Amino acid sequence: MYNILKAENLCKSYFNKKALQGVNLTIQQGKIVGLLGPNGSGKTTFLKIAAGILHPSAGQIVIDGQEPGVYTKGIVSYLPDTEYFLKWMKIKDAVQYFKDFYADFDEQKASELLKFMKLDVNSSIKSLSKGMKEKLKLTLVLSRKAKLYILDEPLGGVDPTAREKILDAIINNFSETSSMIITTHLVNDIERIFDEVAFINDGEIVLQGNAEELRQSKNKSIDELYREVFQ
Amino acid sequence: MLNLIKFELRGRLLTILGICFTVIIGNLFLMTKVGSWQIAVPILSTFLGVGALVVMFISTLTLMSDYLYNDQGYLLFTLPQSGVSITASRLITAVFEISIVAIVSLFMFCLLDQGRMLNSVLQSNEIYELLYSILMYLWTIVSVLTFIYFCIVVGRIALKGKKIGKIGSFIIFFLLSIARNGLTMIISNFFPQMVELDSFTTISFNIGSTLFDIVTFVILFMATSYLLEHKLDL
Amino acid sequence: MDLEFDDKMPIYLQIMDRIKMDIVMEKLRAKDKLPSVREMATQLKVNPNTLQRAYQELERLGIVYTQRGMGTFVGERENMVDNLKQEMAKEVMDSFILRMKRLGFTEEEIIENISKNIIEVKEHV
Repeated sequence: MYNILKAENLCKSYFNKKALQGVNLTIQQGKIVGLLGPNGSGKTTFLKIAAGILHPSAGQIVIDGQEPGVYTKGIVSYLPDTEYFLKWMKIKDAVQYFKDFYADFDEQKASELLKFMKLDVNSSIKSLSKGMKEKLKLTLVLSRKAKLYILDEPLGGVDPTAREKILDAIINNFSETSSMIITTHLVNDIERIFDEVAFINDGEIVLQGNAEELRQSKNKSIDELYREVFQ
Repeated sequence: MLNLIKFELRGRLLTILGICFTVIIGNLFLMTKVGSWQIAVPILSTFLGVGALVVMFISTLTLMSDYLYNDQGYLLFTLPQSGVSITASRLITAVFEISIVAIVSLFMFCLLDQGRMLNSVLQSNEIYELLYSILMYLWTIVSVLTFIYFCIVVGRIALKGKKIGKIGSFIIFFLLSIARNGLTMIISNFFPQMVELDSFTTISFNIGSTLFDIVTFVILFMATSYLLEHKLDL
Repeated sequence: MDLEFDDKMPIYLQIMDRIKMDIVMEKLRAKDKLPSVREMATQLKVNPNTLQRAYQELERLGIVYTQRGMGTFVGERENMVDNLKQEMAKEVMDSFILRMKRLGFTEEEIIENISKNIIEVKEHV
């Protein structure tokens, strides 16, 4: 099975804190991996390094065999936890932006997703509610035929109906040639989507494995396991 | 890179129009005062034009700062674009924006003094001097911007926190400027040779310092691009 | 199929049970086409790989078969429905008997209890 992402002993330290202390993680093609942990555990740091906007202090990480850089940014579709849209844009401008910069952008899929999310291409982004902005972010990220999707808290700050739609879009987007890594602290809502889960705490992976196998061996849901590990 | 320029200019449209509009309205107002304020009018127009250029210039720097310190950076730096592409597109866009404001200001000034200055320039037949001035104008903008961008980027990467980072950038700018000016003086003292194109113009410049300027620009440009691509942590 | 899964147990096993149940209740008959992996995954809100595993396991057990490019279909083996019915009944009964024994009932008492309760237990619509 081909590894789309391989991190070995990945470390990231700042002046006053160690965000990642030797993370080992592999993601196979066609798998959806959940990276679970509380705030400050290092999961966003890990994702940012994979996305290429943060650089490790030590260790290695390769995506499709390459270190994060211009090539990997072209095959990785990243959904950050921030509101990153340019304020002057309308939705159709944002779509055009992605279309112009990403060779793997699928315009047809984008319009279908926009319809599914009930977003109007002519609305200005400034006028959107938080939930709508999250849906728009996800639409654009999933409209790319990327090899690796990195979703940082895709369900964050969004009402339950919007969450449903987002989950649907994520499941529908599944393909055997691409992989996903998703972080969330709303484990309950999303645990059935994960092939594998990795629990991260204080910059280290404390538990990882196949979701179904963990359910069987521990006789607990992933959510319960999460609570147990992070008390 | 072209796409970067395209989108940036679209985003800056309002700012550019706003500044140009102010210049135009200001000058139109001054036109009504030609009779009463006399000599003050062209002086004020010049101030207006220079002021507009300064505002535009600072606005360009603020944009760069926004990319580095605010959330917009997430959009820009996750694009599959090289550091060179990003730095170059920022410079080109900036030159464009500033030039538009400059042209509008000059145009309004000419309207104001009924083309007298323009006339005298054209009649003096100093066409090479004119081209040289334009070249110097472009060169100055590009090299000063690159210099400042470099300082902003270094401040962002080396220091933690918005305020400290920006203050740091300023200090770096200050120190590097002194260093650069110092070196320029030393070089032009050691190599006082000038290039004098006196067969057809009065243009002349010092070889040593010019070469130094060019080399410095290239180094700072490449360094900024490298830092943006490989060392920037958002 | 409703969406009520017990997250404490492997989901693919639960999906398999649902399908087996549907076959026993004749909601699914021999040669009927099962929904595609993707369709079902979206409906149930689970990972498509989980669905895939359920289908593969069912195929291994001979309950369904896959035709390349066409989909997965309910098997048509003789007595399959009856066998499944028996298997599932045994599971339910074994579990019931075990729990009754734990409560302290003797074997005669268990049978007596069943006779008494059997008329009263009805499926809530």
